[in-house]
This record gives sequence, structure tokens and C-alpha cells, in this order.
Amino acid sequence: MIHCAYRCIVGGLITATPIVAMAASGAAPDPLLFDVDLAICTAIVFLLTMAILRKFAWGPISAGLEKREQSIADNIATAENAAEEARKLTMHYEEKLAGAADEVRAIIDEARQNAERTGQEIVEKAQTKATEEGQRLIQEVERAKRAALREISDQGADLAISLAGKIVSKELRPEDHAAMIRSDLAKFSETAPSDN
Amino acid sequence: MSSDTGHHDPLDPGHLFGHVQDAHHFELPHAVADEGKLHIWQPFEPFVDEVLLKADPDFHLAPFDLRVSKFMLLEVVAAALLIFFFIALARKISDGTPARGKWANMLESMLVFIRDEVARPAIGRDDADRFLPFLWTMFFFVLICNLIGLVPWAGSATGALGTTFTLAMITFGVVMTAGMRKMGPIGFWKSLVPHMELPLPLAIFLLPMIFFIEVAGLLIKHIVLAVRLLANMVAGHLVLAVLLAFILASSHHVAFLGVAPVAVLGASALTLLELLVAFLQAYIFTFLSALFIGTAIHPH
Repeated sequence: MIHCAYRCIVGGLITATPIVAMAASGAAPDPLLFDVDLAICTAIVFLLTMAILRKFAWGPISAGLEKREQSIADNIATAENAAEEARKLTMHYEEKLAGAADEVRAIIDEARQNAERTGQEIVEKAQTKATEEGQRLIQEVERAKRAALREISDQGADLAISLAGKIVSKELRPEDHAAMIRSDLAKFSETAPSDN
Repeated sequence: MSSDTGHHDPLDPGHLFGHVQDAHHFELPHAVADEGKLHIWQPFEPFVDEVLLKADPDFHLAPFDLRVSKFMLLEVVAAALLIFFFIALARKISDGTPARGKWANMLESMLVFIRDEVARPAIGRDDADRFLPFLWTMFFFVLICNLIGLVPWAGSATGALGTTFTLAMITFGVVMTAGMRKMGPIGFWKSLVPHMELPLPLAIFLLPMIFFIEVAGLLIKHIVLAVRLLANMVAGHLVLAVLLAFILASSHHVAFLGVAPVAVLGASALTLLELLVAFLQAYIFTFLSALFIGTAIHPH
């Protein structure tokens, strides 16, 4: 049986000659039976289906697929651009960060230098002021010393005169008195006291 | 396959082929239809009987018979399914939105496969899209016809030469038209003969022969396209019919107890194989059609 079927099929394949025949039913078994009505029907159905689908299905589907592929391609391009932009921004900020660190370092250096300079100035000012104060104090001491000496000198003269008056028990006239003072002062000046 | 009454030899070739070939009736279980046959309504019968034969009793319609057959109806069903599914899909995805749902995704992936893996590699990126409507229709028409063959009591329209030969000839027409539009009517025929440096006497002798062989080859390629699909479908269904007929053949014998389970299991396994063959043959038919088109528009 199977052998018969294969013989029919293989025989048909070898000859490959379409056999024009009438309807299938009731005919002898022949796999290469060619039904013209079926062929015409197939052609009409297939071509009509293709025409309908071309207009209402394949066209819109092709357009939809193209549109989607285009939008995916656009999205990918946009994403790539965004990624590139982000990369540039990152680089920019990294550069900025590196610059900021340098800037901070410069600011700190400058602050340190300023602080050092200010400290130096303060020290110098303090030293100058201290020197000036010392000078002023020395001058004041000098002035006080002179005033004290003058007073001592004046009191010494008065004391000498009163002692001398008592000793000589005579009253001097103002002119004599003055002449005596001048002469005693002259003598006193010649014998100036030591600085101690 | 329908059951048999036992009046015929179940392994009779004529009977087995009757299950596989086209008919003017559907075979149904005996419980459903008289004698297991549902006869197809013939709209042209009154016209033939009342008009043509009345006018001339010796009128011969051959090679036509103007009768609607099972495969014709199944082709219409296949076309209707194709139109229904793909217009529905087109409405979903024509605005560029992604397909939603398993069914729509499956159909779309098949369409994209035919476009990207069959049409564009075989025909070329620039020309392929023009032939997509033809290739898509061909693939799904053949596929659905093949798959309908797996439905009980239906039949495979691609198991008849009338169908496969017509589809192959439509492909042939597309190939010729594509080639002539690309290279001109004369250029296309000239491109069939490969360029050879031959001495004039030899060329006069050889070139017409080569031309004849190439033209015959072009035609044979397309006829083989038809026969390949036909043979695959007929052979598959015939083997299934034989396996199931073993059950009937052994029904009056004790061997039935062993034959029946083996035949059912074998037929089930072969039906799964047929499922693969249904897709494979639709793919091969479409792929070869695309290759022939590609060869016609890019001869070198």
C-alpha cells in the first residue's frame, strides 16, 4: 500500500507533467491530478486576498513597523546624544572640581601669607611702639630728674642763705641778697652733682 | 480522517487517496452526516443543467466542471482568516505603537522574520520591501492552508496540484515581471545566458542551447516549487491515512488490540511532525520565491 503511494508520488515527481482532469472524486488515485477549476479559484482567491491585504493590512503594518523602527532609532540617537552631553558635563564638572581644589589651595596660601604678613606687621608695630614708649619714659625721667635737681638747687640756696643769715646775724638787703645768690649759684654750678 | 463503514477495503489506494484529495463533499462522522458525507452546495449546477446542457446535450465543459470543491471552500476560509487576523493587527500597530498581546506579537514576529530573514537577505534591502505584500501573503496563505489540513474532517488545499501549481505560477509571474521591470524585457532574457568569451561558430551553436536550458530551468524551478509543496502535504496526509487505516484493516482480528494503540500513537506523533512540515513548507516556498525574485533582479 505504502509502496503504491510512494510509486504514485515518485512517479509523478519524475514526470512532473500536470495532468488536466476533471473533479477529484471518483477518479483513479493520482496525486498529480490537476483541477482547472481549483487552479482558477486559487488564483482568484490568492490575488484578491493579496490585493485586500495590501491595501488594508500590509501597507499599514509596514508603515507602522517603519514608524516604530524610526522612533526607536530616534530614541537611541537621543539617548546617545544625552549620554554624550552627560559625559561632557561630567568632564566639565570634574575639571571645575579640580580647578576649585587649586583655587582653595591658592586661597589658603594667600590667607596664610596675609596672616604671616599681618603678624609680622603687628610685631613690628609693637616693637616700634615699645621703643617709642621707652624713649618717652627715658625723656620723662630725664625731665623729672632735671626738675628735681632744680628744686634741690633752689632749696639748697635758700637754706644756705638762711643759714648764712643766721650765722652772720645780719640782715641783708635784697640787692646784696641777690648778688650773693648769683655768686653762690655760680659756684654751685661749677661743682655740678654727679648723675647718680 | 473520517471513520469507515467497512464496505471498502480500508487500505485500498483509491479509498486512501480519497481522504487526501479534493472532493465535492466534506467527510464527517456517520453520526453527523448521511454516509459520512456532507455534500457541498453547487451554485452553478442549475446553470449547467438548465442552460448549457439544455441548449446542447453534448456540451463538454472540460477541462472545467464548474463545481465547488472542498479545497475551494477551505481556500476561501484561509483567505478570510488571513484578512481577519491581519487587518486586526494592522489596526493595532499601524500608528507605530508596539503590538500588545501574545497573538499580535506572534503574528508581528512572523512578519518581521519574513521581512528581515527572508525577503531582505534574498532580494536586497532596497528592493525587498516592494515584494513584501506578495511574500507575506504567500507565506501565510500556504501556512494556513497547510494548518487547516490538520483539522479533523477538513483538508489541506495545498495537497492538490491545482493549488500549488497556481501559486508557483503566480510566483513565476512575479519573478518575470520583477526581472523585466528591473532590466527591461530584452535585458532580462539576455541576463539568463551567462557572459562567456566564445569563438563565433561555437557561440552560434552553444548560446541558443544555453538560453533554452536556462529558460527551461527557470520554468522547472517553479514547477518543482509546486511539486515540492504538493508532495510534502500529500505524503504526510497519506501516511497518516495509512496508519489510521491499519486500525480498520485489523478491526476484525485480535491484532486490533495491538495495532490500534500503536497506530494512534504513531498518527499523533506524525501529526506533530506535520505541524512542523506545515510551517517548514510555507517557509521554504516563500524563501525560494524570494530567492527567485532576487536572482531575477540581480542576475550576477
